[in-house]
Amino acid sequence: MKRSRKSAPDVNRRDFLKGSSLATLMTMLGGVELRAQGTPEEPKKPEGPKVKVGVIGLGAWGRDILATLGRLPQAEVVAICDTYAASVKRSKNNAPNAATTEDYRTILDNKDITAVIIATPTHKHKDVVIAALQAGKHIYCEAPLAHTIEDARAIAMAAKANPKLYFQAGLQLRADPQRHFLMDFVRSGAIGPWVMVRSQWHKKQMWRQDSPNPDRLKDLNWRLDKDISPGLAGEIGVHQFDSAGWFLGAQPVAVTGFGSVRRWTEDGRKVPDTIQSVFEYPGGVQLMYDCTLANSFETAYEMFYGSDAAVLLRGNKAWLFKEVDSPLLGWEVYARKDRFGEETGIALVANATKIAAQGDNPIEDAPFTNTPLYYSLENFLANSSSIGGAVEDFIAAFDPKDIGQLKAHLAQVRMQPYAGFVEGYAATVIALKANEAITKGEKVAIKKEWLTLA
Amino acid sequence: MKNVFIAVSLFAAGLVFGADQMTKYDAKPGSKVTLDGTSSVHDWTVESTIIGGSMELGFDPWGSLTPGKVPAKVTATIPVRSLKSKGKLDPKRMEEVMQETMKMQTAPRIEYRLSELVLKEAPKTATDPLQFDSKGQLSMAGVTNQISMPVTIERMEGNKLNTKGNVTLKMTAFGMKPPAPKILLGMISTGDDVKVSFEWSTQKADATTASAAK
Repeated sequence: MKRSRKSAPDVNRRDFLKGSSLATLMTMLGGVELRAQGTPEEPKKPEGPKVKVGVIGLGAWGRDILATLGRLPQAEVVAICDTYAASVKRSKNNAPNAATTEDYRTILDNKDITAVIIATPTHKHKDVVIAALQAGKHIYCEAPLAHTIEDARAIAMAAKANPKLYFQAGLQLRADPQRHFLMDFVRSGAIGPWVMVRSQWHKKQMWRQDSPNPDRLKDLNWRLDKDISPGLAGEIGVHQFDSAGWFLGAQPVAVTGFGSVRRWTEDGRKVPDTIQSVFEYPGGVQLMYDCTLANSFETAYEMFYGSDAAVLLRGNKAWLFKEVDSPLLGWEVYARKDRFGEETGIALVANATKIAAQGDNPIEDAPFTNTPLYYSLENFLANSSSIGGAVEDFIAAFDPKDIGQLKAHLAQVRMQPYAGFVEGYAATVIALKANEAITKGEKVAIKKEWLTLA
Repeated sequence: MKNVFIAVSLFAAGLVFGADQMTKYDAKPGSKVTLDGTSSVHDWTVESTIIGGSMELGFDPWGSLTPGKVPAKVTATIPVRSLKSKGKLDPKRMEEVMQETMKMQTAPRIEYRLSELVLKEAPKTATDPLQFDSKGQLSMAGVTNQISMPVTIERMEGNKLNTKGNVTLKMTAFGMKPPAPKILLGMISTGDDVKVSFEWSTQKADATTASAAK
């Protein structure tokens, strides 16, 4: 019998092998794909003049940032900078019209540039951020903010002291619209009381880069220098730790960590290539986290467990796994039945009726197709523009020295989702404490007052 | 001859009061301007808390007042980009449509310049708002029109004046075509009439300045 397009598709082994998609896999496992309502995305029109941007730090991540900016119509990359000329040269393809420099002060001195993106090695953030604030630039500073709590605090305090300038921490998951949709869903109580959180980041890679120049080699491999590296917890985990706390609506009170070099023993590194950590949250909820450069299995994901259901976040998709004894949710009236080999499962897709009406395939389609970095930078440009415009309007109309009123005015500005210096600072402290616990192999307390700037 | 003398004297007095005795009131935070319109789906509203500019008054709002034309200069500006949609239906898109309709790129500010202010009646008490009729030039979307509207000035503590008024305008009178944007649910058509309401907070400048001295 010919199956109606609106009815559920069969998902057989051949489809699975052909598609080999995680969505298919998760559906076969009985997962319910959770998706936000949305229409296919198209680049947003620039709001007024483009934001003139300088990018400082052109390592692999800096070049990703540059490539992403190239897809954002709101961005005009005016200048790029790295202390290593070869990195600058490699970046030119993604910013052919940008001026190049090996001295970031050249970018800060350029009055045309209103915003800078700082993607230097973590231990170099502080000097650049503080100089950029003094130069009157809006700032996007990669996470973690710094390699020490003192530096992170100095950065956050400097940002706080400059309310006319917009500061965004590079915690890009905070700008991800998929997560904002899920946040509402999870916080609605649909998965029941919290049980635990588990997340991981697995990717087999060396973390070591080669260079014929010994000085360059040392600079390039700063992540493997235990004196300045925040480790895997700081460089990778910071994003997922922050995401967990954001979803839980709480900050951890302690972290226990373990770490070892399991695969990349040849180069004599002391910074672990494999870590595990357990975060304790108020009320007994725990986050179990592991991160490795030695194995890629299951790559990266976050799993939030409630007593009624679990939610898996992976890439730009998420799925709900319900317990058999969980209460019926209202939106289950939209349930679509799927056959999985010998079994029949109930697929609950948040926007099933709309997608079916449009004739789309709810398994393969997703409303948010860009990377979290894309959304994060897009929001940085929008918010820089909004804050810059609001400051300009206020100063033109009122006494610019009235900082209290200015702050009140800026608090009314509608912002796109982002992590500011408060969130960036707290996430950095948590990640550095995790790294400390891993280094010491013991439990480390995280006091509430350490996470605030008061 | 006597009438001529009186007229000359009054004119001279007016000059003295109208020029040398003007008291300036600067714009302060705490203002609000609202533009209300209609559409085929539901009414729309945009709002700003920025009204810049100043008033110069040739009379003491707290003093003894007699009805009639009063010396006053007013310039007020509102940045178009500060107007924010208060609706829940895709406010960002609404603002983009509004900014495009108001030709923000070439006319970034709404500007008002008073040409005449007439006190309608003497206040009965020291706290009664002052009631005026006003005429002035309003520039919006690159087009300037004369508008008339009643305004009230509330006399507040701390030498503050709170000026309120509202007027209904036609978009087409300012060269704007009522937009028909496509927002989420489909095409929306908007009505030509827009009601502008404002509350403008000003405060006596630190020093009483004479316009003629500037």
